[in-house]
Amino acid sequence: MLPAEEAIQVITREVFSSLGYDTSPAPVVTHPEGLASTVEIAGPAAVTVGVELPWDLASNLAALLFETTENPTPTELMRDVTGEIANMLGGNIKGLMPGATTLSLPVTKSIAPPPDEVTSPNHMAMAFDCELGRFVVTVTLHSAEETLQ
Amino acid sequence: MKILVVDDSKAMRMIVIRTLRQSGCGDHSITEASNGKEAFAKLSTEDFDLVLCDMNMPEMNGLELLSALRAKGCPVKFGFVTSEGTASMRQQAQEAGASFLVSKPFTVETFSAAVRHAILAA
Repeated sequence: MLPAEEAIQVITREVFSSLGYDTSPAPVVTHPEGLASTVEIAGPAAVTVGVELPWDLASNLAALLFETTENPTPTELMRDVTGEIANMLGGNIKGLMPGATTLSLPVTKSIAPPPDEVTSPNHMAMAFDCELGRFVVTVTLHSAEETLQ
Repeated sequence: MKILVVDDSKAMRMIVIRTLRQSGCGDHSITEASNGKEAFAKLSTEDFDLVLCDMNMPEMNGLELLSALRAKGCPVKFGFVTSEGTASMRQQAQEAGASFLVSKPFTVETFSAAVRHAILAA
């Protein structure tokens, strides 16, 4: 069973708040071109947690966190920030899952063109706005036997 | 006081160091390591008073690092800063010899409460 949407919203708000940004749920999920990072939660229920940041947001977030004025913002810094956001989201969502679970390291990659929307009762995609832009958080439940990609 | 900050994310190391400063601990000497293996090497050649360590890292994770340190008799004060803050993980951390666990994301207040207590006790 997927975690409650409200719980994901609270976790997302706390993660971005710790980075210094307020977030609010956005009405429309639009998958961006930019960076996506995912972590896998393995256990009785296998779950993939992902975050998708548009380039502008990843760049601004990395520039502000690393206090760099380098232009363009180094991709390595953007990947680092995006991966850490996925790690924090996944670690906290892991705490909502039943039984003994383990958390993978984040895998971060660029997304272009933006992925198609997945329509499945086992998939949740939520958009959020922060002052630097709109981003998407995804949670996908796999069967315990299914091999995660 | 010498503090070793261990995390595979450079962003998180920066956040931890910034929060240390905001907690009034900015005058300590701070060294960084990007995984448990690198931290173990630094701790083998240099004395630290406190290790602030992520749990989930490549090469050697935080629990493996702490176990390796205790196995060779290193008594350094050790705290986890991790996104995995469940009761089960806290128990594992405590059993391995950690003094505290700070859950990510954290506020300056929650981080400060845990770390300042450890610093005062060191």
